[in-house]
Amino acid sequence: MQTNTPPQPVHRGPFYRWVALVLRFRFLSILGIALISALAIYNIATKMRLDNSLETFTTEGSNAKKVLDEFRSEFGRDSVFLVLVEGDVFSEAFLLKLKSMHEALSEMQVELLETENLESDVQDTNAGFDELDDDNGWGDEGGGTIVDEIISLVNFRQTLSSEEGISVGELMDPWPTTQELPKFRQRALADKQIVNKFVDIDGRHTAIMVRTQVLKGKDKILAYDAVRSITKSYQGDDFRIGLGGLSALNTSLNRVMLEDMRTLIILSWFCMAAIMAFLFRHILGIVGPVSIVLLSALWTAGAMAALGLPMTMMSNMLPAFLISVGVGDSVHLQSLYRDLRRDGFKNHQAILQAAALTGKPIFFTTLTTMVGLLSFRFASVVPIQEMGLAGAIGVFAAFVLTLTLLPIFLSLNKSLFGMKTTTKNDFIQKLVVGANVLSAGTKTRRNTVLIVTLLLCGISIFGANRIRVWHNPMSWLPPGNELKETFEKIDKHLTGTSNIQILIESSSPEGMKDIEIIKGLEKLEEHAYAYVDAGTERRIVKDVTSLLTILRETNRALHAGDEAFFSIPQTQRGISDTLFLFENAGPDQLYRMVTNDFQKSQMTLRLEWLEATSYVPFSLYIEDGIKKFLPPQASVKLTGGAYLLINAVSNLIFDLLKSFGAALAFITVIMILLMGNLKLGLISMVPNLLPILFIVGLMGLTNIPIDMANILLASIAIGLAVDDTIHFLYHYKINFRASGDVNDAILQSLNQSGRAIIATSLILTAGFAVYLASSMYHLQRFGALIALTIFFAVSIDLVVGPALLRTFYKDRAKELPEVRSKAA
Amino acid sequence: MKKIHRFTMALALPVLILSTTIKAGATSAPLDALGIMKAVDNRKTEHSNRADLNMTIIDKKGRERTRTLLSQSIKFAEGTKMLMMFSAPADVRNTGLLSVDYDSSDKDDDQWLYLPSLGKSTRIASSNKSGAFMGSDFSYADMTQNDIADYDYQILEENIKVDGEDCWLIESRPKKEKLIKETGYIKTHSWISKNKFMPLQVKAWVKKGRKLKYLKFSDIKKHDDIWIAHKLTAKTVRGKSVLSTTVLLFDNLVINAQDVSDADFTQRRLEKGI
Repeated sequence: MQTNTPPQPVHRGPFYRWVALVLRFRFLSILGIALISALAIYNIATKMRLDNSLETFTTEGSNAKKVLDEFRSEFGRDSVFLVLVEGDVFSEAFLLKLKSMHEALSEMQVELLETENLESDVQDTNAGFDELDDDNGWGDEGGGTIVDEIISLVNFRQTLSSEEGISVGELMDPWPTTQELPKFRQRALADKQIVNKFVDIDGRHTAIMVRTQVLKGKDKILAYDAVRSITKSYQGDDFRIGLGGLSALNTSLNRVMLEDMRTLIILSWFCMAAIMAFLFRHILGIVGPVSIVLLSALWTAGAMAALGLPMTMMSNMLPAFLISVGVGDSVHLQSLYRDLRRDGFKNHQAILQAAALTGKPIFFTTLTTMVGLLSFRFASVVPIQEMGLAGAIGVFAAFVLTLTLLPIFLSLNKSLFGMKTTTKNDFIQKLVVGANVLSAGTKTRRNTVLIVTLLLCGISIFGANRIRVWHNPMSWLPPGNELKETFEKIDKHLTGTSNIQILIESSSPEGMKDIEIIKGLEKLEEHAYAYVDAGTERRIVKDVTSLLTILRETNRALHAGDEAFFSIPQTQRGISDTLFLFENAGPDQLYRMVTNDFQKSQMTLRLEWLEATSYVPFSLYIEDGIKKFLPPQASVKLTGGAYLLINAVSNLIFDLLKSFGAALAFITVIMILLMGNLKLGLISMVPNLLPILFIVGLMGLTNIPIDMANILLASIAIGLAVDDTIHFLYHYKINFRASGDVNDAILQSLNQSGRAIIATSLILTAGFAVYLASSMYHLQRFGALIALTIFFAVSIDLVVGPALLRTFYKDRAKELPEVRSKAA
Repeated sequence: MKKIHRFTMALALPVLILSTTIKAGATSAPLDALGIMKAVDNRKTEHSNRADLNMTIIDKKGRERTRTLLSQSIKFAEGTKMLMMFSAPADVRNTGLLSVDYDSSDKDDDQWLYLPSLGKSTRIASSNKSGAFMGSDFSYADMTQNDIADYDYQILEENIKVDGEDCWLIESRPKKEKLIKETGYIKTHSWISKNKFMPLQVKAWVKKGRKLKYLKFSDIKKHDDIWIAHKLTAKTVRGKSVLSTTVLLFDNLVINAQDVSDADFTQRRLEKGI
């Protein structure tokens, strides 16, 4: 019977007290939120960095990373721009244009903003004259290009031999006349050092290699823009230019990523706003949740910047993820608030009561989602670890904001918001009724549900066994992407775009001149060239550069350019002399191959770009060759882009099991604690695990592989799937304790939580479906798979969950009436 | 117009070829930048010299590699001849280099290299003068002469001290872009001793890769009234990091030695070794 006195709050607790405090100090709370947001913006503006370099996929502290660092500190980075030009390479017009572009690139100037002191581990930081305290280094002198080295047909080093002696010059100096062009073409295409590296055998593709000084942060982007702007001005139908190379790859990926993130944030935001409008049909019902998710995304980005976590191809999914996940908290609180208002609660009391009742499940769902994300700390790949940490921070931020900002927004409600009952017959309600019908009723129907579930489990296990690891970040880029196409063309027509680098260390200084080591390297090189990839049935080693390259070229020059001497000198003194001659001519090139003391050297194998696991047998083959051919005085380590990927993917399945296992263990414990009952806690894990099993099974059956992006799927999905289970079983526990009637408790729980469960699941499904609008394939696929998992999770929660409860729980005597009224 | 060494005559080996002497009265009247450079250029130089040269190259990690060589030079009507033969380490012993540097820019310099494994000397021609000499921090361009008229000079500091000595600080800029391409330097700063009329240190702006080269001349001693630096240090620097350092030490320096003659600067002598 309705009285004139408004209902009073019956639940109090920590969340009640917190919200009461927030509402009392409303302006102070807003000021606090504003300050944190300002700090986040400051951190983003000053410290946020993007990092899409391949080495981000290495494990910090791993052997592969250490070797990479050692390699770079000795021989510098392998990051170059490769400007690919397509056209009639040996026509006069093309060559003149090439020359002009080559010159423009070699003069490229960039005002550096961040690069100062990048050559680390230097012997002495007191550069310049010791006593010159006020030396301002380069100062404000104009000029000075950031280009360290540029190589193309125009200036390719040519060591020629004639009766007069050896001359070191450039391929096109003197510039060939029109009549000389056919002969020049013949000469260039006959040179093993040039063909298929700087020009293809058909004379249709050529490349300019630009190596800049080592750059930092924004300077990399400036360099990319400078190269792009120069090359763009030469673009034409007869001179088609594509920008490739690792330097271009990283910057270009950063660009695509930022554009993508912007699209996803805007779409998620509108999607959320639309769903909120549908659910709450009031401006306040939209503004609160939408502000919360945006602020939580902002705080997360701020925390990432402050903690030095870069944005990577992994973390670019975070903002949209946080928008869809974070909104769930608001929906639960706001739904209950609306119901309480409808039941006659005054605004202030409705807010407090809603916070008191939803605080605990929201806290636990936050906790489980955080656990899912934090389980990535067990992964061995750094960007995945970092994404997990940042995501967990974001989810927590959404929780804090839901219990701070949302009550403040709701406290502004002076209208009838929440008093309408129009939503009671919408399609969400119809879905709840449908779930009731499926899960309720006869034993036969229950058994059918369980048998179908078991059957699906069997199929999924079969599918899960077929799942494979396959990782190719290039395949994430959309078809027609310029970078992707350029990489493919470079791979097809010129040198390889991936690499394995071999670091060789002799037992003593000058040891790299040892003829035994040199001959061993020669055999290893031959061994590498002979490898045929089983998948493509092609030889994947496109080029090998090492000391051998230098020895052969110089030895040929010393023997009047005779191609028969394009080989390694056969005596120890011959090797020393040849290296001496080269050192005299081009020490920069030499020191990219060998250290100053000739103790360490490197061999770079340029490989066709393949998906990561295809390189695994190749690296084993190379390791075998190293054992076979190199003498004991040489110790060898492997690194390079392809090798790093191999390392990352070989840990992938193990990473997945580790992170998922950790998430599973933590969540099981949380569920048992929350349910206060081992049996119910364990039953609750079935609807949590089944969606994961189904999705993994589906991936296996539909040939969707596990890669660096969707490895996140299982742990994130379990963190989300568990939310529905918590809400449903939490209500079931209270109802069953009160009524002792399984059927009644289930039906009541569906009525109480079903609507919010379906609403949040719809929000999450829509939120992740937004990823389909991404231009990056891995995000599209990730979004679709998560959306599907959530669909599985909600179906299982509302249909299989009740069927399980009916199987494992039996009716018992009703508890005292006051307990029941408390549960209600 | 007279020619002047790049690095305002300050670089390594040329110091042996063209060492400086004080000209009486050179400091009596105020000099402008060009005047100072002309005074530095306009001096008596030794006809020949001979020294044991110790060259240590230190990389960015502090690893050292030392080579010792016998160096001698002599002036002739058209320019300067120089012979260098390595004595250590063992794997380069008897490797040698003979160069003929013509004063006239119309004529290409000649260079012969003797590699014992070939058993004969080979003439080497390179258009790239900005390349490093023997893998050191000195370039071939540092060792060849340039026309004084090709540069603009400016006094940046009238009174500046280096190692307690009064100096002028002078900036030299090539007048033509071609010269920057040839030498690799955008500009140089030279600290010229007012007393010795020789540079005590030089800073050069390297266009390619925005590097800086710092040179220091120390252990300066007088031989037959000619000041000669016995230690040269060159550092290649980018930002605040030293990428590489070369230290040249001259021992047993003899100038105008009677036994150094034209006959010592032939291919046959080169092929004979030490």
